[in-house]
Amino acid sequence: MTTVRFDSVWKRYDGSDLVAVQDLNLACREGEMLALLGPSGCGKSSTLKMAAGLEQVSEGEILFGDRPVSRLSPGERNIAMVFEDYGLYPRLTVRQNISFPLEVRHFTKDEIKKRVDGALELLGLKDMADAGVQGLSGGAQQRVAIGRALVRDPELILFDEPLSHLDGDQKVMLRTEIKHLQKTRGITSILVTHDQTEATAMADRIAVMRHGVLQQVDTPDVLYRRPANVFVANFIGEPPMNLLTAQVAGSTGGIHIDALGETLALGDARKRHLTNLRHGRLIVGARPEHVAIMAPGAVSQANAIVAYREPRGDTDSLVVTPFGSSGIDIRIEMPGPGSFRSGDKVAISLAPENLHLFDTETERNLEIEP
Amino acid sequence: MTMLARSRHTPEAVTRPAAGCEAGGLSLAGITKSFGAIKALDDVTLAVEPGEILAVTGPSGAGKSTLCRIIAGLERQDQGVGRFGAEEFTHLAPGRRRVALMFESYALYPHMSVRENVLSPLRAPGGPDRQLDHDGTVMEMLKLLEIDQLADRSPSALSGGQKQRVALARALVQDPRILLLDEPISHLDAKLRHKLRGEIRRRLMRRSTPSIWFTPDGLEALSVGDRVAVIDEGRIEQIGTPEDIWLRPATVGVARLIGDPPMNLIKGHVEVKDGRFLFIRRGMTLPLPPHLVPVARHKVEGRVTLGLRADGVSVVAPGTEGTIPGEIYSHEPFGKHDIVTFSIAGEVRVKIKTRDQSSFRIGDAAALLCPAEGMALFDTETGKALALP
Repeated sequence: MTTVRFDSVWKRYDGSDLVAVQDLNLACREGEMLALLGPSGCGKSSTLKMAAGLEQVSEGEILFGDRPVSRLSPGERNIAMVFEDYGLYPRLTVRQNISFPLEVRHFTKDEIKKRVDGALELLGLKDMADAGVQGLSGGAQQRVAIGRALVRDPELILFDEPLSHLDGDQKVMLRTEIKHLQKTRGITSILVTHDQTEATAMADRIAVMRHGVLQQVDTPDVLYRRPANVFVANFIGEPPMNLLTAQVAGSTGGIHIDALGETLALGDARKRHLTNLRHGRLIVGARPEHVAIMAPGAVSQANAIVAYREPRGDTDSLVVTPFGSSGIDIRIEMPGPGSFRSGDKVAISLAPENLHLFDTETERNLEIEP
Repeated sequence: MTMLARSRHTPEAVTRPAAGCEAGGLSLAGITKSFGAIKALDDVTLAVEPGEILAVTGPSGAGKSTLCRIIAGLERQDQGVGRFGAEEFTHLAPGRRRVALMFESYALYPHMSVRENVLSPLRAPGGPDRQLDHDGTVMEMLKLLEIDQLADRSPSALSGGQKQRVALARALVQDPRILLLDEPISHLDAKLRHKLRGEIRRRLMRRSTPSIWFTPDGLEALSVGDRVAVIDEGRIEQIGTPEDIWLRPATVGVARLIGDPPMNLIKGHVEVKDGRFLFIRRGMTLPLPPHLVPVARHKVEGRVTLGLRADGVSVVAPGTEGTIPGEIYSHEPFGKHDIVTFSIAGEVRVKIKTRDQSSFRIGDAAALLCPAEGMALFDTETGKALALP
């Protein structure tokens, strides 16, 4: 078991002006699963490949514990990888696939049997130990790949989009298994994924990346409650946060939200964040579950019409359009099944304490020090 | 896009228009189809009203695509009949049915640009008025689906998700008697899927065409369908409103497919002890709530499957009266809710969706509280929800 540290790491590819990874400073703690999350081209895969030794570091250093590894070959790093397409030997059985890394390292027969039996048991693969891997479901194949990664007792496991080829229910099942295994065995792990749901489900902390630049690294909970900028706010959470333009109203900490025609008081503690905004403009973020919706009539709320409703079992997801706004949709989530329907006139309101404030120009969260 | 934005602000826009000149719902009666020894569809009977969206969902291999192809005329049923209004169509050639079908495999013309692909059904013989200038319609649809900047590209230069949207645009510009969408948004990323699901539904709501939206995603079916049909192994398991399907799943198959996470299904049997009706399995004894006692009365000692809705159960401190002991197996914090996996006797896993902000540590002892609400009972042999005989 180890820690991993990226120390001012840069990655440039030959013949390209693009910087794939820019001055990355990031640490994965012992026993932690750290997710690298972002859309394609954000630099997460380049980062993983540098940790694995499959790509050269252009500048900076990667350390496992105190040991610099960026000049070491993959084989010298004692890591294991789990790939999106499983990477199994198709002609071998489950047992043969899992024992393979031990056999090439000349472990004794007894030791191999002990370790492989342990892995088969742990991953619920005992009943299919002698089956060929080709006939297995994707979820079972990926469990075999995880077993193969575990038997060697590597210092670090790198998961590269491990769920992306699986069907919905297998995905949900395996992400729970991976989390359980990773936590109970305390294996230091790095997970690469473009799917915020997977990252949130499995990782202790998530590093959100965009255009090669680290945006924020923190627990899923903090990323959800205190996103550092508009990009993170929009990327974490489904459906995404509502982002509404607003204007500072007076000097008393009021903000006027354009789409709602409503002014909210932020209170004394927060109004200091509103100084120095150009033209007093800002972006206000509200999570769909934080927009209150009710029958019209109550005072000081914005009137709106329900454009449509999506029943989602225990949740109703509504899109409402405030009166007088030019085509602004506001997404609302509420416990379901609820009683609002398309075409209903409703009132909506926002509680100031649940609002996120962003600078229109820099898109940074006004309440987080850079 | 501007047209759309303007019209959707009026309440009229969300009310379904009166049935058009060619109004007629679609009905299927007793559709059966076998491939060799495999029965792909077994006595499928359903109706879609003018302007209605029926979502058909089921696991892969359930028969969704076969049903789609039979309606389109690409496959011939062994038995049964389909009608538009009173008019039988299942003997007609595919080209004479006026069915708009969006294939899961896209089926774009490789030699045509994106624009020409979307325009093609409007120009086809027997299609709508050929004198009209359709470019506006096509471009508006491309904009809606965020592929207008690709109008002059050829399909070979597109990603899978972009091709899927071209195929979707081509289906949506038509004015058919039935619109069939076979997994129309399944290959798009989550954000775009979320947006388009609603946009497409809003468009379809304004038309008098009946539509069928096929998807393996049970929640997507709830979201887009006025009604939902759940199909499994070629048979319709349940047809109902999204609320019916969610609150009263008719079979284990339906329950397993719907929800995030879906209903927990636990096999066991019913026993009576001291006049109380109990659900029992290893490591787990649960008194049945009053509303399940009348149906359980007929299954005493019989094999049943208990259904627990993930949002109906909760995790409490170990030792709490009337709870089931176990431990925290896993914990997934999604911000607006957490999903906790709870392990009973090391063999049953129950998923719990909670908005409670307490911290859950993997391996900690805990207890499961199961209130009456959100509990269902199925016959393990037939898979059907227990009902009074």
